[in-house]
Amino acid sequence: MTAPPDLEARHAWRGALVAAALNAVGMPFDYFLARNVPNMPFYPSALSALVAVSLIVLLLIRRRRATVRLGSAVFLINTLVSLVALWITSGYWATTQAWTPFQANKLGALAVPLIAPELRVGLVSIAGFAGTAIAKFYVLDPEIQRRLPIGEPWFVLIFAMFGAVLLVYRLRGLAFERDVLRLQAEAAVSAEVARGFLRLRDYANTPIQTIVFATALLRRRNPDLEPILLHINRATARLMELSRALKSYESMNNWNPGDRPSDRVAPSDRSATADPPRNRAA
Amino acid sequence: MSKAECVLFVEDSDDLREMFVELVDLVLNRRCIGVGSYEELVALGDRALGCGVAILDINLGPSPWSGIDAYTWLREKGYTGRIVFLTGHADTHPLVVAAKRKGDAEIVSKPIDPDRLQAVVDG
Repeated sequence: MTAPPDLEARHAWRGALVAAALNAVGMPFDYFLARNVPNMPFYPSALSALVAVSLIVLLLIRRRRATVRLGSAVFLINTLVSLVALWITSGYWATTQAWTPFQANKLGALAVPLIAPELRVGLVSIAGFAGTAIAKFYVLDPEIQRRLPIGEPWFVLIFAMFGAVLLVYRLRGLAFERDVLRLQAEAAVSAEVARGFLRLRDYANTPIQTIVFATALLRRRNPDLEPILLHINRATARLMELSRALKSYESMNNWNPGDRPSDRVAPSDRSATADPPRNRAA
Repeated sequence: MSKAECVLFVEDSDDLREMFVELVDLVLNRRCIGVGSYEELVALGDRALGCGVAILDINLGPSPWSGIDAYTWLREKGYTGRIVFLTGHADTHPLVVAAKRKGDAEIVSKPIDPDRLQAVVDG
């Protein structure tokens, strides 16, 4: 079972990888769609995709040593280069008549909650997608601003708000899932400890029983030994108390079908003595 | 020898079996037959069936047979005496649970003191 801290790091690593992959694929595709946009430069999309590929390589190298911090850092860098690229390309897109304003920013605000590694990183990224869209609007030519549909660029805030809610919802779900896994792991460890105690107790019970009976026999045959036998009695009484105390672990242990008693695989006490067994019938 | 005088004890631990047999003989004044395995019990045949009370360890060591198999063999052979399972294992262990299902058998947990042993033997 994966330990919860590892699981959190794996979630962060996977989210960062998906974000970088979307950037690496999405930006060249965005340039492909914009190939007829006048003067659209190639370098923003190319640089963004190149950084994304570099981040993917870094993540793959650090795959075995993934941490939440690494995932968050990669995610933020990836978001930053995406925003820079979108800032530049949206200015060229805005010069076209058919431009639907800030589509990529709105998409980003909704994609972040699905893959962000942490709450703060997710909120910052969503704010970045929304904030740069609004800021970009105010640096566009006033003529272009007037041409945009009513309500733009503020619609991006609605996307950001939905994105933030989705982000909180998803991260709470993941945290709950990790808690459940942690509790399951703890329960499994507790059950194993309980089983260990029970095996110890089960294995000790027969020798304790032997000592109790042997002491009773000695007492009957050698009354002179009574002072010594009292010590043995007290010692075995404490061992019996220990055995009873370990009984409380029974409720914590679930035996699996087909479980055998522990001493069926332990060395038999017959091998502990060279004397042949007596009192054996047949 | 009457049936009530004889005690059958099936236990794989040689040390415990020897102590038990001697204790029953010396302290309880009962004849006791000690058996170390299911195979020895079967080989004992009618001598085992002649005992008034059978005390069976549930776990008979590494052999595939358990005290429950010994119980089944005794009952199938028409044994009508009392049967007591003596076990050092948890109440929840599958073998102990299976022994509990044998409605006419008493289950006693190890370790017990000699007074309790007398009560178990006397019924």
